[in-house]
Amino acid sequence: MQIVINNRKVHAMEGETLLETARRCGFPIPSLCWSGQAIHRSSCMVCAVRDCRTGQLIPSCTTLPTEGMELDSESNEVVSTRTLSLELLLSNHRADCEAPCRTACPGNMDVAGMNRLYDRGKTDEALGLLRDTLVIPATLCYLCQAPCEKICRRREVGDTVPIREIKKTLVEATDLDRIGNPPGNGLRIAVRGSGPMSLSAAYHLRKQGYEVHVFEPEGAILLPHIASLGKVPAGVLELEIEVIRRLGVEFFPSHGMPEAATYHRVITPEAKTKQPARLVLEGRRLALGEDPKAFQSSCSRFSEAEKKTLAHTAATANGKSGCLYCDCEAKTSCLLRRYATEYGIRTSRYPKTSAQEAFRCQRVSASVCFEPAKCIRCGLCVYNSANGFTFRDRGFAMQVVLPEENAPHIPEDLCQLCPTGALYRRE
Amino acid sequence: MNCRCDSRAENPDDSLLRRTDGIIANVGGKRDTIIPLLQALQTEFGYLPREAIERVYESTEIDRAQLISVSTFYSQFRHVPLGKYLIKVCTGTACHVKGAGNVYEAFLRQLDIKEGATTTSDRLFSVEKIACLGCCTLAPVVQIEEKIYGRVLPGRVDEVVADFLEMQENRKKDEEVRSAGRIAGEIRLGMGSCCMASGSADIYRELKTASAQLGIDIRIKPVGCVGVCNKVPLIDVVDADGKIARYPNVKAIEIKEILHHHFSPSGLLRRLGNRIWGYIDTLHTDLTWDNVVWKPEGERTGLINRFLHNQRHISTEGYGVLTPLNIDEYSSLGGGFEALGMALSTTPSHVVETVKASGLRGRGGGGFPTGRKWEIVASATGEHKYVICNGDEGDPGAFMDRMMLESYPFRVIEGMLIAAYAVGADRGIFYIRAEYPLAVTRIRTAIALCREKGWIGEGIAGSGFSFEVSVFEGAGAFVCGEETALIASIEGNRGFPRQRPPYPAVKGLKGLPTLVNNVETLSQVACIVKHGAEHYASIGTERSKGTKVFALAGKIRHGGLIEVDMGITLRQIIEEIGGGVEKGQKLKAVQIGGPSGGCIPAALCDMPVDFDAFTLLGAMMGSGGLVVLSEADCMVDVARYFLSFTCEQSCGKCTSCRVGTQRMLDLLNKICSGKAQMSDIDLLEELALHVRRSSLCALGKTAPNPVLTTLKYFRHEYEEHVRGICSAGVCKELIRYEVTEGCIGCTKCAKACPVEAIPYTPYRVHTIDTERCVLCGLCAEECTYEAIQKVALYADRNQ
Repeated sequence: MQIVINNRKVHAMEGETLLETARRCGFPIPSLCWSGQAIHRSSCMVCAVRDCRTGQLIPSCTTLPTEGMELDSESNEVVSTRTLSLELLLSNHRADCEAPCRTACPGNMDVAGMNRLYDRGKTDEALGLLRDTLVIPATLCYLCQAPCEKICRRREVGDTVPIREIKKTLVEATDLDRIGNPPGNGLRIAVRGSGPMSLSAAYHLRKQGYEVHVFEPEGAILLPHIASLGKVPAGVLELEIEVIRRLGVEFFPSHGMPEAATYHRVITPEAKTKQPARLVLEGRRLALGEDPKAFQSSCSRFSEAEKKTLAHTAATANGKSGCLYCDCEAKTSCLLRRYATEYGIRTSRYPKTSAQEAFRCQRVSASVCFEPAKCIRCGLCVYNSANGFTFRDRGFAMQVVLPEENAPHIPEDLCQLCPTGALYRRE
Repeated sequence: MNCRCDSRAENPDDSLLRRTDGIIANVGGKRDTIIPLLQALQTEFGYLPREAIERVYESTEIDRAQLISVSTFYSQFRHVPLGKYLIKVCTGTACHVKGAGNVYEAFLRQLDIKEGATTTSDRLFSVEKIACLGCCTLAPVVQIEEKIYGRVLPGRVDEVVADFLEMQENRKKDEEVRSAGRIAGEIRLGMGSCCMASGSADIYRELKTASAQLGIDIRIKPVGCVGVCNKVPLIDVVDADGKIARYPNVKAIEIKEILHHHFSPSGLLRRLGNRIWGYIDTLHTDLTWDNVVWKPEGERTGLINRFLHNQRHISTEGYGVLTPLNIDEYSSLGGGFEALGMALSTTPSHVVETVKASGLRGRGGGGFPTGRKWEIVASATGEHKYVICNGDEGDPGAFMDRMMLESYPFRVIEGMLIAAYAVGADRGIFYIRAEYPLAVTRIRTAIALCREKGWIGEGIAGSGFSFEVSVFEGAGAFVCGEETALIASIEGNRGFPRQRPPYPAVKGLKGLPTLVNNVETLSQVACIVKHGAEHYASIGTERSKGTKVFALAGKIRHGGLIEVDMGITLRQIIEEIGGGVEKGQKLKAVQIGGPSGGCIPAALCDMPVDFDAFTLLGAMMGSGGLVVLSEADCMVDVARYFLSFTCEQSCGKCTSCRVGTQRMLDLLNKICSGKAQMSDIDLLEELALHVRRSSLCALGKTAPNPVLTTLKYFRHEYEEHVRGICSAGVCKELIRYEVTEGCIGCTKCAKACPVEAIPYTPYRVHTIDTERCVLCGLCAEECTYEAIQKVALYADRNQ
């Protein structure tokens, strides 16, 4: 069967939906409430396309192609419909994509991710994550005002997670002998200066395989914040520089810098801030390029009810860090986040309601959790479980619920259907 | 000796389980019987007790997921017990514009129900808001158990409660008196729900007792809705010579006088006795001085005649004459079942062709050509085919379907039979809201009567055509008016509409071809078959044929149920039939089509009644609610009212409807409270267009209409609200009450104030404590000197 998508003739196969045809032919169409072979009912209209003959918007995930159909999947009208649908979903999606400690961190440190590894005894991996983000983490901890600890959710109901202490403990466990020298790619890069930005750039470039030469002024390794260096105990910075050295970064006095032409690239960092962690992040960007800025959903202030749930969760948190892992388990796999990013949504224009409590988490089984506040009511888990999840109430108040008695009926792989982080596996 | 009663008495739990088991055995425990099962359990226990539900899980196919899903979807089901008596405050459109919100609050105050609760501490009363009682012309309306009270003002709620309690007392003593003798004549009394609301039941009782007392043997004939709802209770007295005298707005106290006037009591002694009775009555009640019988006939009925002029009765043929459940009368008087006979004598395809040629379009709202729909079902194949009569009229402000089911059940059944014959269906279902108990009972009885007469069953009227009909009670969800949602609910699911195609005409109930037609559509069918397509097509406009039944309500002098030719203008309806806007106010707009329709401004009221003309204006024929709005109505508030309705009635499946309507409502609330910015109006409009464009069913697609039409025709009112002004004085957050110099200190307002916001200061100008004031408006209503006025709370921010 022939149909036309965006003025291009394509072949639609028997039994395929428009969404499948379009994707197969290379037209990217987002979708949330549809998941392959699973039973579904169109609801989100994120997959909307326009039927050019009727001018109607139709859900491509359930509509079957008919001979001679003409579709438009990328006009402004289609894009704005998808965007508005996403905005509406986001206005009722009470969730933090990233934990507040990370969004507050000038170095964008994934604190919750680190704590997870730390709590599971994966010290090396935790340290690896820490160093790959902050390069000189222990030093920074002495210099930083620690906004991460100030914003920590635990603080609303008691003591903050001792984030800096955890970082220092991890760094203390550094085994210099185990630091390997990554294989080279045959290209040489010069980095001028030895402030946090330069060190960070050097670190990341070396890890990418470049041979890195750092040319520092007057032979000494110095941070630009000499005055504040007094805050850092002796040996801390030295250890972290040693790690960089062991990776294979070479340090030279700046007057000895040879012709620029002998290098693949010469980097001269320009510091636009004095915040050391921020400089580390800038250095990373110099080396690796700009990270695409992902959409960030965030819970506004917590209601009293939420604080109660939070207190309960805090009291039962059993990791040694005490971290509540406020970030979303699905932050990298969440389709809602992915499309919000792709459609350039910064924040929903509609105020968020606090109808659903953030932070309420229902244990479905030992490994599966359900967080209703993140649910977008697509119903995939309802339609695909027998006497398991169900809808309750109607209209805006409609929720997806799992009666306690039905929890045993939930197969673990049901999680794969959830387009957000509402239903997920926790290790 | 030890008392052994304890061991013999049944454990209350056992009794509950035993009763539950009985109901399950009776109704069945299949997944698709869940709604009737829950309805039966609720009828038995008053709510759905947890133990009964657990029993359902144990002994039926119905599981926890399905039960939670279904029982929380439909508003009929209750999970907590209520008080002994339930007070339902109607918040339909007509009631809303007449202040139902204040009535609800007044009940809460009167019964001292704490904030957030709905039941009195002694569990005697519960108060709840309900979508529509369908008595729009008597707004505001309140129902307590079966008793309906019309025109309930906030200041009258104490009387209503007292009257109800008194009635409960009297009920026990009430006795029916019968007598035998010569039939002196007949009295026809409207017994539709509205009539009942206005006290028809009392009149009926009084007629019985009075006639027995006077020894006059008259036939009291309860007839269907008389349509003239603003003049009810209305009785027609037909004397032995067949002369008819009509009495509108009769009171129970006047009955004896009327009977006396027309009929002579039998027996001299009784006559004498009655003279004395009458004399005493005349002496002791000054009401008789102004008794209706002394008024000239013209004055009594002039208005009614005017009301009826310009109407044409097709769906409501035989109005005021037909006894709803008298099948012989329907056949003889109304020429009933003649059309069915004619249809059966031709081929089904001929019937389809006739309906197609008549130009009949679906009366449920969308206006899809009925003949075309029949044709599709007729050509579809299936082991069985269904015809469903859609009587899930949920529009707050429309009650024509209810009236037709109550008053002309046979006509609707006949329409269904003809439809079934034409499309080749063998099974029929009447889907009627459970909120219409009278309609349900009458249709059930009418079906039984038809079966007795051989109009339903095997080989109807000697033909080869067989048809079975059942009744399904809708459990309270507006969305179930949508045909796919309606089918989902019959199948025992939540009323989620599904995407079309496939259309129900091809794949409907249980996957079989299903014809879903609205009550009013079916009630037009007999006329078409009987008088021919040509005759029918001669009525109406180019593309809208026949007549349309409207519920005319709101700020109108003579509201009621009317049936008019398509093509009549709105202004004719308002001015000529309705007698103009009430209290001499100016017409502002007409809200047509309820939550799916829109507001047509006064300037455009010369528009003829026509499906396409309404759609062109951004409104919709909808089911036919016609609410007249005057200058005292705030259009932003009207839009907000409808949106809060659709928002609550949204099934919740699709994002743009579930979240979109809520966000629109948030914006409207912001605008009505004067806290919005001009940009919020644009945001609202953008969102409204989005919801219309990207919703998947008719509810979502039309939900923004009230907002879009008011934005189109009354944008200045939105802008005014942003500036902090509601010039109609409706939006409570923008007004306050003020005592003017006209006050003489009579203390009437102080006594009326339910929250003691007006200190008791005789002979001094009263003051209002704005902190305490709940803006119920009772004081202004009470004040004889018009010394209390609504004023704007804020100065216009633009000036």
